Amino acid sequence: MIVGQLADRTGRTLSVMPTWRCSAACGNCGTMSNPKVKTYLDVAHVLSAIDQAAEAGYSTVVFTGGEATLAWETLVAGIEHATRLGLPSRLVTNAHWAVTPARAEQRVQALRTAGLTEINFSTGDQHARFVPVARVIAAADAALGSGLRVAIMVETTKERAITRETIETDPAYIALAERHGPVMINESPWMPLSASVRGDYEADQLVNARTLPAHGGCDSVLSTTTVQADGTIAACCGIGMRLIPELQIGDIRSTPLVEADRRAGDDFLKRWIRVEGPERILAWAAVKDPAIEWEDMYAHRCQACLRLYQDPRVRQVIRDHHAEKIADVLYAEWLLLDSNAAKPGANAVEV
Amino acid sequence: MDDSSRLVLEYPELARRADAVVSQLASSEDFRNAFVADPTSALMSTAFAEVDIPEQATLDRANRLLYRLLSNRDFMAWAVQRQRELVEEINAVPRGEGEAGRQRMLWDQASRVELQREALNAIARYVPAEVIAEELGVESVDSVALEEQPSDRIVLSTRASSVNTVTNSNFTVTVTVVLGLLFVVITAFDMTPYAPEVGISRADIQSVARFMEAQFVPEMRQRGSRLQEGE
Repeated sequence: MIVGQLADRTGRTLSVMPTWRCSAACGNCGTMSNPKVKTYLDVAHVLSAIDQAAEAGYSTVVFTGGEATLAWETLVAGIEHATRLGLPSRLVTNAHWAVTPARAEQRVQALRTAGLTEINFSTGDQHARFVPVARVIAAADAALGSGLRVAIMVETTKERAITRETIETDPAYIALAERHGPVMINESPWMPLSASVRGDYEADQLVNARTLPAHGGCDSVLSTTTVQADGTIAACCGIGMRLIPELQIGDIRSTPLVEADRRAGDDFLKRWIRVEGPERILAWAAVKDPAIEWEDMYAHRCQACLRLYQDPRVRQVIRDHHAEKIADVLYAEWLLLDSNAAKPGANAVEV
Repeated sequence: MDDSSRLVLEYPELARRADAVVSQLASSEDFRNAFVADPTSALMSTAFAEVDIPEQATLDRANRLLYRLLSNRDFMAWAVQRQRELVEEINAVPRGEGEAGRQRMLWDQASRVELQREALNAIARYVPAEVIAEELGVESVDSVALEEQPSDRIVLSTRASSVNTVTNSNFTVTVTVVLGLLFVVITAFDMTPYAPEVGISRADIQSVARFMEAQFVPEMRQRGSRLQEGE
């Protein structure tokens, strides 16, 4: 926690996907995971990625997927290794394993013993077709009881049965909250895995000229490096990134992590997305080519990013005109990412 | 997809060259001024000599305003003080059983919107009107005032004695800066890709500057045009 400066983000995250296999088969899954998928990352490469991340000064390791707990031994080995190297770790899971409170406790205890520091649960109408919300609450209860930091993410569309409110009014959740205090529950749009399909969202979730100022830079690209289940290294952990070849920056079996990161950092477009976000780039492209429509189409920025990379018209505008943005992007990098940028003289306001 | 068709805007050693530019921005006031006045020349004179940068390249007005806000001693004193209060508020929540409550406070988006609203008020209080006018490209603004509304919005009023070529035409422009638009979008499978932060970030201040740019400038210009047309 920073005192005496603005609250600007720091640190890089290594995201590891030990498998793309999942116990659920959600429609529009961001990694195209389901129970039939059999892609697993070798434990040696998981440990190697963590070694390289520690060496490069990363601040956090996240295990996600797929459903990372389906590669249990690799997951636990990875958490233990990160812990040994002084890196805090986080698990993203659908809680399918919390079949009973006792089973939930047993799994959480094993993760805690390995050194896990935080756990995130994914749920919502799609996930709940395969994993009841009751398991998420049971797993959250066990996790809070063991001292883990907990967050729950609820996928949202316009019409849905499961919301933050339905969870917060669930008797099991109320009992949990009485024991541990309320859990952080975030709602986030569930996006189609196609740039041309309009998701079913509330109007106020959609990006347009009026809401554009609320959309800042992407906090994933060039901040999170992902080692995927097939060994491919990606420059972000965005939903749908498997559909964007430009985000693939190497292979953990042959590319050193620092080399992959360097390669990503030499791509001006990724730097641009980092400071402005895909929505603003789409809006900028539409000024150059008015045939590009973007308003009221996207609620999820990863879908806007998919559009940016897949629409030939947007790609052409970016190729033709991006040089005029170089100065502005570098200026924004300085202002947003250098914690001492433009600081008033002599640190007079330090506390 | 072959390499040539990939949308990768690769410049050799871009990261290193970007670092060089940022270092110069941080260390040299002369370079900063030159960069703001003529970004193309400044870039080509440093690490980007071979890059064909269009002459019309400019800096985003919201970023220019962001710089002026970050370098305003009074505004930043307010921001740092406010953040200290927020940190103390979070730390006052008991650890152990209160951990979930602490975490919830860290992620409270309503609080973040409220912080942006406070920042907007602080801008009106501490940043001279002519600075805002200059960076947003609106001429001859006399004053900027904020007036909170009962709704989840803030009204920014400006009294201008001249706009562009129009002089001696006093009027007030009222622009609604809607800040209550933030909602969480989980950008990744990892839903907390970085540690939640307490207080006001540079990105928050940039967002406020963007709201001002997006809503204030067009309205001012529209009013100026109407006046020129003899409204």
